[in-house]
Amino acid sequence: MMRKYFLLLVLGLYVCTVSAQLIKQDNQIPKKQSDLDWYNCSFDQDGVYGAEVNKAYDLLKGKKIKKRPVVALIGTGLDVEHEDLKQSIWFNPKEKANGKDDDKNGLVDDINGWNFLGGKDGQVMETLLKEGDREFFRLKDKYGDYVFDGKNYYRVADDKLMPVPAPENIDEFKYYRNQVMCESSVAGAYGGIGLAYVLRDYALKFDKQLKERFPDKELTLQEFQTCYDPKAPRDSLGEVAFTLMAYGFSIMKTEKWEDIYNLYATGGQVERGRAAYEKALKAINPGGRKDIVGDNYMDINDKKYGNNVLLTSDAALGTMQAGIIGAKRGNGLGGDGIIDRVEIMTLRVTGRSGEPYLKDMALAIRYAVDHKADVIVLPQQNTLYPEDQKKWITEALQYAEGKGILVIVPVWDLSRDLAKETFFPNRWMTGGKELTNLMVVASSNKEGNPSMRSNYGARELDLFAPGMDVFSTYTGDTYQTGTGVGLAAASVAGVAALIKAYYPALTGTQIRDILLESVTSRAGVEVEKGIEVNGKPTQDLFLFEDLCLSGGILNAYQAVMAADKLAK
Amino acid sequence: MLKGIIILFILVTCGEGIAQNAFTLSGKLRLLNPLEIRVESLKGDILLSLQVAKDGGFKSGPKEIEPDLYILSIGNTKQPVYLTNTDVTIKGFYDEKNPDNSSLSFTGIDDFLELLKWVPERKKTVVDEVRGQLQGTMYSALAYMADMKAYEPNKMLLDLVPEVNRGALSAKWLENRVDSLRQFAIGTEAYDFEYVDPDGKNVRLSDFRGKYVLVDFWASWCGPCRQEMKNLLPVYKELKGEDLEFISISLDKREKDWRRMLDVEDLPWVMLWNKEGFIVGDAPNTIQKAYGFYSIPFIVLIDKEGRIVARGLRGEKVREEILKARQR
Repeated sequence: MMRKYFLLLVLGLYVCTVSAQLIKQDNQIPKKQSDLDWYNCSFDQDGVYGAEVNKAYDLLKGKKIKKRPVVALIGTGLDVEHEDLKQSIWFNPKEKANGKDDDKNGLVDDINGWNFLGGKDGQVMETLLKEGDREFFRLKDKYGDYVFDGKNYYRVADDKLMPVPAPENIDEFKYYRNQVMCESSVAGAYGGIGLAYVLRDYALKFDKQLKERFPDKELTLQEFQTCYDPKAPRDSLGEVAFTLMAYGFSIMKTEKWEDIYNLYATGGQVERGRAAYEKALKAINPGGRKDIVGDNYMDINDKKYGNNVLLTSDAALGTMQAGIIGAKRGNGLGGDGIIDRVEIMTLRVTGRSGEPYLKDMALAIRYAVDHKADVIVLPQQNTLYPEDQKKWITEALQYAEGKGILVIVPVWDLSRDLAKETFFPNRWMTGGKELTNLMVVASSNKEGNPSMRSNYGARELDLFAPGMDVFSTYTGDTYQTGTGVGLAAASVAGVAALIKAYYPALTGTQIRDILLESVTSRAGVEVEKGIEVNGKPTQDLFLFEDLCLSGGILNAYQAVMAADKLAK
Repeated sequence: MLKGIIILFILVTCGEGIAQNAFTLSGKLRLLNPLEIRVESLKGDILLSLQVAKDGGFKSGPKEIEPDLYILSIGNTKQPVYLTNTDVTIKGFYDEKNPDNSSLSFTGIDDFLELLKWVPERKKTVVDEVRGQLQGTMYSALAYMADMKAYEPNKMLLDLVPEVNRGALSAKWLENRVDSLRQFAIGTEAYDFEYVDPDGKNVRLSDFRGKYVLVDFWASWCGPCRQEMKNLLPVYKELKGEDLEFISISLDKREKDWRRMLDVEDLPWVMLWNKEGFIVGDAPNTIQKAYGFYSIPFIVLIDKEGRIVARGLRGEKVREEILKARQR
């Protein structure tokens, strides 16, 4: 490990030196804004597809800010002491750093926000599980040992596969089998053990059959073929076992039944299945929620947990997002934020790996609403939202909607079509009335092209926004260039906050409508886009309007004009 | 799952290093846990050690140092850095458990940045143009950073270090390096190997005195080696003559692998087998040590008296060097 870091650092230094050298040579011509915080720029003035923030300010000249908007960043930690962000950090007006819960909201010293993944002793949870793995651990004892052939249920007991009645809660079982097992590699590996028992039992059964049918013959693939039962229903255990064993002949490069028998009938396969499961278990880091945070994550009413540590190992993303939204404008440090009169509230629910707990997200949304946030930014969407917990998010989003708050969520960079695969949160998750305050965004580059791997959807995705090669604040008073959907979400949040600052009466729903209709239209433009066909990445040409609802890129200038019209 | 951002994690700004008589190190880091910052000489002597508390501030007293390469440790991350008698500052964020999350910004290391410009990309050689561009121990520090396996560029850099700076640790390191590489220098006598040919007969390098000998090291499992051998064929056909011999030495561990490939490739020159086989890592076999190579293909040209004319030849270079040698 040491050596690796060593090399990485040298490499890093070397790369940077090249740019440092450039700066020296080009001393008279510093880097242009269109290379750095280019979301401020516009195509007509700077030749990049920024969000035209500078032009918006020309329009707003002479107008006064009506309120300081509050943006809640729900996601990673944040470096609240950063030199270029100081003016933009939210302070809880009713809380003092005194070890007491001054504002009686149940949380002690929540000065700049809250870390939902913290412990009372200042410890911080750094790695999370994927939702699928969490669901596996929750449901494993109930459903993990069932083997289902589409008709009958079996279970392993005392080293034997026995027929059993169907599980009581058949819907939950189906959820486990069809969703959790697909989302969790550990669950898949665990299922492999059950399958190994099936193979063992069938190997014994086939062996008995073969010996009866061909008492004096050396058994080979040819004799084995007679075990195939053409009347067996498709996907029955017998058929699966036969197919896998037939496949075994070619994998083992053998003709002899004995080799296959030894492979499966002896129980070695069961052992291998167990070992694979142990290995999959080791590969994930459960994160230690119980030990560090100590709450029950399945109980939404268990609310008094977490701590106020906001500088965490993952704080880089939050700090970059904050810089795009609210870095000091025109001070020569880093880039210019979209609105430096903003107040940024930090609510940490994500770690360095894994997926956020829906309970934390729901409570964070509610915290933001209750503490007067105007705009909320969420971590990226996800495929698996367990039903009970999904309700918490839906209700929290409706709560925000009722209070006129805009919620922004970025898509994943997975090249998926959102019309074919459902990601949460989305506008339709209520099951009833569509959410009107939820904006789904993706990132685009200087040339006005969508991120190649971005998820897309003509109805499901709202717009694209600058999020690639963006220069922004970074942890520890430094500045870096980064790429990511979270940065696109920050661009949108910044522009939404700008609108709110000058037109405070507009609701989240109205702001979403304004942002949608005021995009830099890219309709009719054909762009290259990564897609997935049968799970394999490939590319295709798309009309921009087929990728997202608005058919364009975030535009602050046009949004201010539209807001001005609406507010009159 | 997805990290959300992709970035370059170390940032270097070129501050104006104010020339003075002593080195100081100061700065402010944003930290998750307290840590130690240390500066060590290349020998491991500790120059200074600073405990950095969670608030992140640190400042060393002034210390006169010999301008040279030192090892800077921030927590458990080590970084060689060329230091002179200037104020060096570091600011940024450092995450000891996940150093790749860190972002550090230095000032006062201009000489180091200057010499880094000359560090060649992987496995390449420092270019001659560096002469006169650096000063003092910066040349030996450059050799250390470049970590080159060939004698000549190391020797060139050593010669550029002025006599007064030869006591510095990087200069001493380079002197040792040059000494140990000298045996591979152009013009020294090549190690006289003896290996079996396909008929089982022993063949020595010295059997070919009076001829130029191109020695090519390869193995059946090494795709680039076999490609290189194919490339040798037209050169061989074009240049063959009484004064020239090609020898390909297989470093296969198993004889049958070597023999099978002999049939496949069917090349018209001397084929030998070194049964020691190729050894990856820090313990090269006899021939690897004698000729100083750590990867194959590796090609050397040896003159009529058995002295090395050129090493590490690839592609068109083989032809060029043979022609050049013949003209000499």
